[in-house]
Amino acid sequence: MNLWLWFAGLLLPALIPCGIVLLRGQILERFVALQMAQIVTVLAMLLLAEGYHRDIYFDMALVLAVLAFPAGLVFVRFLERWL
Amino acid sequence: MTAAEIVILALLILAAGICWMCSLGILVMHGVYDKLHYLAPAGILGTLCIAAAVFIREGFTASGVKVLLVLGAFLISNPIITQAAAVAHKIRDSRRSNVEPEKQP
Repeated sequence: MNLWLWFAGLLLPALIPCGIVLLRGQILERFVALQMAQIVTVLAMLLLAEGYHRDIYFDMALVLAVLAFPAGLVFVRFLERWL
Repeated sequence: MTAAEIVILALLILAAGICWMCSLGILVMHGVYDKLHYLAPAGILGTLCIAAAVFIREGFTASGVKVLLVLGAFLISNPIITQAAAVAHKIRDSRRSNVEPEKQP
């Protein structure tokens, strides 16, 4: 265990409040919690990538960060018009 | 501990603190507009702190550049998503208020 892995382990439980809002909130509150969960996940992945000294793991965090954008826009479009 | 390690530790503590506060803020705050405010610090400041920590450790390598790209992705996408969500909530609210007058006596 190194510092980076410790902080990744410290960061991951921050998903629990997001999960509570995802279960109990109204529909747009759930969307906000989902976006927060994506941010926390990307940051945890960056920490894990540095902790394990694997360059390829940074690619996973980058892909998630980039794909979260159009995914969020699609959700918002549906929430705006049809749901 | 070297000076760089102390700076990295401070940045990681700051990033974790920001993310935790934002997660708890999303849980505690009422209403979509208030919750939306908590996306920005985690997405921008938290990512900036971790990117700085990784960049101090790795330097200008492939890993360092990828972390900067993640920061750039969040810098661009976070405000757009926040604004789009606020507009969607406003549209849903106005749709609901147009329906509700029919129910009023």
